[in-house]
Amino acid sequence: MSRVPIATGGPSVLDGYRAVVGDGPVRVLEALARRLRDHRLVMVNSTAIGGGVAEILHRLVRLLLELGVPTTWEVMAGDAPFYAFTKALHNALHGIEAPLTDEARAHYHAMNERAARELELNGDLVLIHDPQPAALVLHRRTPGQRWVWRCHVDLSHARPEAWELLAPLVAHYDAAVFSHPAFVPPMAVPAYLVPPSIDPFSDKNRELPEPDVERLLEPFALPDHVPLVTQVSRFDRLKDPVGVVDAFAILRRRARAHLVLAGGSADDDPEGAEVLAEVRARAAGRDDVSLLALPPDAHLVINALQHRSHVVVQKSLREGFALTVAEALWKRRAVVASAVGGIPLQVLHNRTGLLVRSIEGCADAVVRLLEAPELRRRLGAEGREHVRDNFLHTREARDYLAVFLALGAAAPGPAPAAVAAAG
Amino acid sequence: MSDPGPYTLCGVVHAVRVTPVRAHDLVTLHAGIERAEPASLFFHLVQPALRAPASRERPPDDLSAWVGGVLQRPDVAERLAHAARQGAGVEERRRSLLAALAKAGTRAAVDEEAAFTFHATDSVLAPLAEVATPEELVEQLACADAAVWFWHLLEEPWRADGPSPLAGWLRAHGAPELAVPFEQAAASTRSLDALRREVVTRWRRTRLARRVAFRHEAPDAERVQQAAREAARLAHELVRRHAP
Repeated sequence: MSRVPIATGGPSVLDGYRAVVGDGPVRVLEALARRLRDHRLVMVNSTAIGGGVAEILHRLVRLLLELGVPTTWEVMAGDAPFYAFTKALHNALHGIEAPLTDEARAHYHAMNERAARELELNGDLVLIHDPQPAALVLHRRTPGQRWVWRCHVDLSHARPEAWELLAPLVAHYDAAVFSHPAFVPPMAVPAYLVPPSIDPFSDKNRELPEPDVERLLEPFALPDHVPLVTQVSRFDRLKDPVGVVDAFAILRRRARAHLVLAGGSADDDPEGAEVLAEVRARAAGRDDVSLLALPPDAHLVINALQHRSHVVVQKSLREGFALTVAEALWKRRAVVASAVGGIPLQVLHNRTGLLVRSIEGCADAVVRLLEAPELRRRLGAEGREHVRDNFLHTREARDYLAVFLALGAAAPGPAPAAVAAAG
Repeated sequence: MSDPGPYTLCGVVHAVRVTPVRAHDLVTLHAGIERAEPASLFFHLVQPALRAPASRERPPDDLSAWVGGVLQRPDVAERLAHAARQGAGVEERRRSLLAALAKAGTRAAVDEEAAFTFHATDSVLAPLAEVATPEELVEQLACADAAVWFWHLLEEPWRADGPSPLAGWLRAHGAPELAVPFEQAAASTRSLDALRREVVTRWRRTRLARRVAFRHEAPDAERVQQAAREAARLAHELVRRHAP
């Protein structure tokens, strides 16, 4: 089945947000939603489990339903060759050379054509997430619909052959959405900016009593007599976990600490096991480093880990947005992060965290924070307020509704093209 | 005087989009301002106030901030910031900006990562409530989101390309003292929060003045009754506070 069921029982999500962001922003959101109650919104991506997009959609769709906007979420099925190609495409879009063979491209289009027959895409407003389902627009676009392509990837270093594959597809959409202006390539359709967001009530972000934190972390036997420095991310080379180990080795000459690298892998990411092996090799012989390979639903453990950490690190080489940063900021953690992608939208240097650009810089920034508890407290407090104002689901829902309403004032997009697998 | 009718309070949400127009130096900035769509000039000149509503002062416009901070031309940035507040409508402001840049000369351009990218907004209104009187207006505004204040103080007058429509409505309802902040907001350097406080403060002063005037003008018998009620209320309060 392609439709993702959304849990709707329990306390009102909207009432919860009212208590967190205030009545004013919620009233504006409700007023926007009233304008779309006669429209059906369909979200489409390639997995319901693991990864930032799936995590957002589980909560965002529920919020939209509670706002009275009829919304469904469809997941496109794939096979091993399809995921191998889309992973190669993902890497190539991040600037890494990767094979995009004609055969693999043809298979990509065939899978999209098949998905177009299987998925229920009869909404007035269709939001396609990331490259995996991007070709659906060629096969199911009907007059009167508004199709928007949502790109969660930083395209600023995309290899030309990768963007050349996607650009003709994106041209069939009414608009595209990106997380940051630097991610936007030249394109023929309007490019809107909507940073992603977190849910403050989810297992990953809600307040946890101290006994629960201890209970959740007990199986990992982490030391409690030294500060924890933590990075939570998929074991992916673009997250630079080996670089984090190197930075930790430098800072350990000046400060006591224990490093935790916690990650899992989205079920559409084949490289995770390889990278974990590389990290193990780099950390071999160190008793002050813990590597945790967590299942995709280990949200409470991640919550507890961030809660317990003195410093949270996000030393990515490339990023779309890095939801882990907003999660850490929401928990008032002091954050050291690379100045890449959407991270500088969240980490305002010396105000909500520290931005770095090298392994040495990362080491120095962590030492600075370990030595200054008052600085950690101040950055954490401002970080939480910055997330409250800018990176909660109410803001993201508001922005998507605004994009669709803005498109409603324009003429409908192009009629469906003749079906042909681009190659 | 004819009834001005109710007024619709709205919040505004901006669907922000990137345009293909970029600037790397003052010459390309001039060219960019020349061809920028009105929605782009709005985003860079007016919308910054909504990004930091609670700051002590209104943030600078994006153009002068880039020229001062990235191009390192504080002299030109000053003139641009001044020009950004001149003129009643978008085309007047465009002309002011272009005039400020016309004699600025140019130095080395910045690289691609530091370039200025022109954005634009598509504004989407969120109607919240209809208000029939200035009292209702202030009651609703007092607890409203920054997006509501921004619309009525800054964006609605910008789009009207003239006087603030809400200020006109307030004057028609006999509340000229409340209209003043809405008429002065566009040229002010105060933050949204500071302007909000001014409106609320003016409103409280107006109500206090009316209460005092009412008491002064009321017949003696009515004023005696009112004084007795106040005394009883105060006595009750004193008993309640000091009760064991």
